[in-house]
Amino acid sequence: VNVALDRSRGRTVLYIDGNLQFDSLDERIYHESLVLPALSMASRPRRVLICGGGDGLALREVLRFPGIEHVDLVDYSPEVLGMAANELSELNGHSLADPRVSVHCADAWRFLEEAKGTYELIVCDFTFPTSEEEATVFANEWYERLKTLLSEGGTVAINGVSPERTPGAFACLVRTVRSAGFAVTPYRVCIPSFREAGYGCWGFLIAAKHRTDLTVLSELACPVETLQADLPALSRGARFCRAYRKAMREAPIHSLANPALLPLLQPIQQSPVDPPGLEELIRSIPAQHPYHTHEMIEELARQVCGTIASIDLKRLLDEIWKRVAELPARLREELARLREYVQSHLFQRGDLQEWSSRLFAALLIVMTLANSLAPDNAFGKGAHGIGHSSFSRGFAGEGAMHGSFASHPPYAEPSAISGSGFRSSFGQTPVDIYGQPYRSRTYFYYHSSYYDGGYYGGGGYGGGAYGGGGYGNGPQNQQSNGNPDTHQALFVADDDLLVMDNGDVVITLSDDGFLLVQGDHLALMSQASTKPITELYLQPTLLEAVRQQILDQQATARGEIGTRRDWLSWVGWTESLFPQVRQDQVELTNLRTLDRKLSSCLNNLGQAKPGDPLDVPSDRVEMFVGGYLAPDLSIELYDPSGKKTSYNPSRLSKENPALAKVIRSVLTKMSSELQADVKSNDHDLQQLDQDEASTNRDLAEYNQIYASNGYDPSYTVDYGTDEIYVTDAIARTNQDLADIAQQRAQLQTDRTNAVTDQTRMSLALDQLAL
Amino acid sequence: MAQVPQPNQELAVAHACAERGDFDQAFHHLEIAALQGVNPGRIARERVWIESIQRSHDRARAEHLALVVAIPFLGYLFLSVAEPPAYGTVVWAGLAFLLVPVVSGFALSRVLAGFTRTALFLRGFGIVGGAMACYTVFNIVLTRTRIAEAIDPGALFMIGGTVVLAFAIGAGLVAGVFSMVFARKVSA
Repeated sequence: VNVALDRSRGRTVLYIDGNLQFDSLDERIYHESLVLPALSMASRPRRVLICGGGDGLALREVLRFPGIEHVDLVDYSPEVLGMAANELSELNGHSLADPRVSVHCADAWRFLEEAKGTYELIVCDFTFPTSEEEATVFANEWYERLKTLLSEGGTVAINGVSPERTPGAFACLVRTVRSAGFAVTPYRVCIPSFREAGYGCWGFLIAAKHRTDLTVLSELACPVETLQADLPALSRGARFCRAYRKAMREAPIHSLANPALLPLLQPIQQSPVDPPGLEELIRSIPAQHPYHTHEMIEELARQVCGTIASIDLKRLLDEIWKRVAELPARLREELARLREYVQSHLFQRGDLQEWSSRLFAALLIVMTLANSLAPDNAFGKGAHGIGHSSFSRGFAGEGAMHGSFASHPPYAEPSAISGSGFRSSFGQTPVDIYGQPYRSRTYFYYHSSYYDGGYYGGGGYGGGAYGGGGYGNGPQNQQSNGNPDTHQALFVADDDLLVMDNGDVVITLSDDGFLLVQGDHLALMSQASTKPITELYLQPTLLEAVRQQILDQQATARGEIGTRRDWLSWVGWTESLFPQVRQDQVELTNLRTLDRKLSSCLNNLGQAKPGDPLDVPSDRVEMFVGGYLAPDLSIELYDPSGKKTSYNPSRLSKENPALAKVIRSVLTKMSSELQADVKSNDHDLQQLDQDEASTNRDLAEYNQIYASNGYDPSYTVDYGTDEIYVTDAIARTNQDLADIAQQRAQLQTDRTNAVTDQTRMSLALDQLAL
Repeated sequence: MAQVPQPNQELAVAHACAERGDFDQAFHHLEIAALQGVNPGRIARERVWIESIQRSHDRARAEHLALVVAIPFLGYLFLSVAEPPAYGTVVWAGLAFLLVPVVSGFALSRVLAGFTRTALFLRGFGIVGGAMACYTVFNIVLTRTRIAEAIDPGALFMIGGTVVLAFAIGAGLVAGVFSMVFARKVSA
């Protein structure tokens, strides 16, 4: 055994085989934490056995405890025992000379074989095992032997290994002691000198024949005052996360036949370029942009830390030092101080990893804030390019159709303009509130005064450039008293809602049909027909929904007008110098035009006719407002007076081909959407099954933990990121299961309804096709 | 025939100049007194006394100058409560380019009494122009960040730079000119 005692710098530090044993500055944390909890938990301790611990420091703590009558100290190293009796005698309080102490310089195994009687406390204060021979005193057989020497109320205090640097070995040790029939309470303590030496926090175990748990540690009543250890805080160090506990259940048992401990004692080697302890921070950075992946952030982390870690500051300073004579005197002094600091402080605490981690943590915080404030600009990527995060607003472009506009979900929060539609194409093509331009659409129809005159008067409808190619039908069947007006779609208020340049509102249903709202009139229009197919009952809810939608959009537009007005109040006078400012002026003008048009639209909307909303039976499938599919597959349309007209789908193609075509296109579209809904429901149900299975596994685990700890409700377990009582965890998991069952019932109901509706639509479509 | 000032009279004049804050004149009269044969030890004592007066005077002036610098900054800070359209363009321009610079120029001319007009102009121009530049930069940045549309950073820099420069020069010129107008000459 290579024993070295360092007494420099006013401290006493003992090394055995190069491993730090103690540092006089904080050795009491170690020895008090090792001995006093176990002594306090033992029942009336009188006889104590200390295996290892030849330095006499654990012995010192034992002798401080009241009621101790006899202590056997066994250590196989005469050098250490000699040192304890001489150089370390002051530090250990001359404990070896105490008349109650019997010192045995012997092999611990042999001593145990010959030992007689029982002990109330056995302290295993062995050195860190570096060979199979040294590891035998950590084996299952060793603890089984200790058990025979332990009194019924006695305890065993075991010096473990580092749960931080060698978690596998610590778990192995815990399981090994348990396998010998002991109840084990593992805990860890932070010892500064150990941490400085790179050992991390240090682990201890208390083994007892009787049951022990965290509450015993938290309610520990130690009659001896500690000088350095914080015994009331020990219970905090005894809480291990789920991964640790799982490891303690699954780790191999170290025995003489199966020496599993030694391989697990290889400390965890961290890659020099991996940022230590930053994984959670990296994961917490929001990836708000399609380009911002966590892989990218991790790569950035590796590069930053790798670059910093690759700087050999010590060598750099040495190289500069060689040319120090060329430097001015003051600079020489400063350099000397820096060199001294780097050599005496920086590298004693480790390499530059720690510093690079700190720097990287600061960088990540800055990036997180920047990314939250300006997702498009973070990571120095520039402001241009595709994939604006603002596109993630869920705007479907066009074509989506809702069965009932009145049941449309609340509109999304108004967002800022990010497109260029108001600068370039407003007035020529429709633009949405985000400034996104759409394909141009032209409609031909008569003003609603024709309706007021009691006839439709033959409407002309055509798409000038709709869909790129344009329908090109032109007005047909025009009345002699005038041509239909041509109207451009000006503003896309919603997926299906268009505001025309004259303030009318168009609700698109499918490629073949749309609803036209003019004042208090609602007409079903066909793309293929030049006149309205029929006038429909205008539900107050529809009118109110359209009004609210437009009001929301107008509020957003006014907000945008305000921001641009403020901006231009500063820079507007430079428009002759900068084209960008000119474009801003154009945009402001167009936004003001939109605001006026939306006001005009709201004024035009009129009021719904007095009367209750239609009382439509709940078994109808709503195709559009005022149009329903009955269970007998008849098509029901409600006219403005609320009178219902039923059409037989099998005869509709002959009786009213235009209506049949529109209904067919609407049903086809709805059917495909319902099909997608069913698939989505199926996927959600599958996901719920997985969630339920996972939750059931958690519940079983909590129940098992609860049972294995004697149904102690105060035992804590990990629940997500929290550590809560096991009973609470069980209650919450049961609640999760109930929620899952409720979600499943709702999903199944939705799915059944969707399938029923889809079946009805398919049958109606079949009849329409006949 | 003009009466030639006696050495002691020169010392009295130097005292009066120092108490008034005109230290150049004070030292000048001290030198005349020395040439007229006043005891060099007396001259040295008087010089030390005038220098001490000058130091305390400079300290007080520096404190007052800090207050003067605060005037335009506080003025523009107050104006930052709302954007120009909220005040009305004419009212805002009157406040930002007339009221704040004129008040600052006046205060500057009082604190730096005795400075040359050129010095007053340069200080007024620098202080108020700087405050206006800060005010403009902050507000331009803030108003632009409220607009989500991307703008070329180079163009933004050019636009912002032009506006900041023009506004700073405008306000600075007004402040400089008015500090000259209100300048109070220190007479001997």
